[in-house]
Amino acid sequence: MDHQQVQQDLAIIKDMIEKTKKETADSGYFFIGLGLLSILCVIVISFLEYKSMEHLVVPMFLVMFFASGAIGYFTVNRREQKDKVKSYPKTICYSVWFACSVPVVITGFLLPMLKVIPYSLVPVLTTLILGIGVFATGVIFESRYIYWSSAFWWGGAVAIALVPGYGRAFIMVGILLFGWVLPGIILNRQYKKYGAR
Amino acid sequence: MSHEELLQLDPLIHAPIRLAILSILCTVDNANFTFLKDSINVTDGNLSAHLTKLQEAGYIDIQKTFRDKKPLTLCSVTGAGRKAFQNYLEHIQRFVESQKHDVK
Repeated sequence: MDHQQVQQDLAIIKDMIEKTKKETADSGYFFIGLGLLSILCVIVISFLEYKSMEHLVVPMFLVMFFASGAIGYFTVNRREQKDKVKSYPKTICYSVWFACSVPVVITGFLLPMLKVIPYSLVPVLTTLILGIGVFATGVIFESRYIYWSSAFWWGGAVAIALVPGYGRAFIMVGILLFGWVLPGIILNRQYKKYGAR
Repeated sequence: MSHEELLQLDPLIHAPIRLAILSILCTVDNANFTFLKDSINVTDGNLSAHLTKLQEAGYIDIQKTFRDKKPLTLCSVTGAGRKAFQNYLEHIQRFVESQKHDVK
C-alpha cells in the first residue's frame, strides 16, 4: 500500500459516508406538521374551555391523536417504504418516540379518566415526557438546537404548573413553536442542504 | 508500510468497490441494491459479483424480499464484516501515522 492508495481509500470511504448521510437525513416535515397540529389543538382546547365545553377536551385529544398518526403515516411511514437505506439513528429515534407516546397516552387519557390525576396536571406531565423525546432526538441527530430545545419543554412544564388559566395556552404555543416547529425547520434546512432525493 | 503489514491488509476489502460497499453498510442498518449501485456507480453484474464475494466471506448478509410486489435485495453488514472493516481502517491509520513519523 502506498500513500496514493491510502488517499484513494480514504476518499472512497468519505464519499460513501457523505452519500449515505444525504440519504438518511430526516426531512423535518413530521416535526413541522405535528407542531402546527398541536398548536391548533391547544388553541381549540383553550376555546372549548373558554366556552365551558370541557367535556369536548378529551374527544379533542383523541382527534389530535389520530390526526398525528395520520401525519406520522404520511411523513414517516410512506417515506420509509421508499427509503433505500435504514439507518440506526432513525430506528432509535422512532423507538424513543414510541416510548414517549405510550406514557403520554396513559397520562393524557387513562389516568384522568380513572380520576387518578386531575386534568390540570395532564399538560404538565405530558410536556415533561415530550421533553425527554426532544432531548433524545437532538442527541441522536447530533443537533444542539434540538436537544437544548428540550429546555423549552421542561421549563415550560414548570411554567404551566405555576401559571393558571389561559396563560397556559400561550406557554404551550411558545413551547411548540420554539421546541418543536423550529427544530423541524432546522432539520428541513439540513435535509435540503444535503440535497436528499 | 512494511511487507508484513502489507500482507495483513484484507484483500477482500482492499478492492475499491468492496471498500465502498462496506463503507456504506457500516454506517446504516441496511441498504438496498439500488442505493449501493447508484452510490458506487457500478453495473448490476459488477455489484452482484462483489456482494457475493463479501457474502461468501461472511462479511455481509443479503436478504431477498418483496416490497409492493417488486423484488427487493437488502444488504447488511455482519459482526465479522464490521470487525474486518474496523481492522482495515486501523491499518490505514497506522500507515498514515508511520508516514507522519517518517516525514519528521
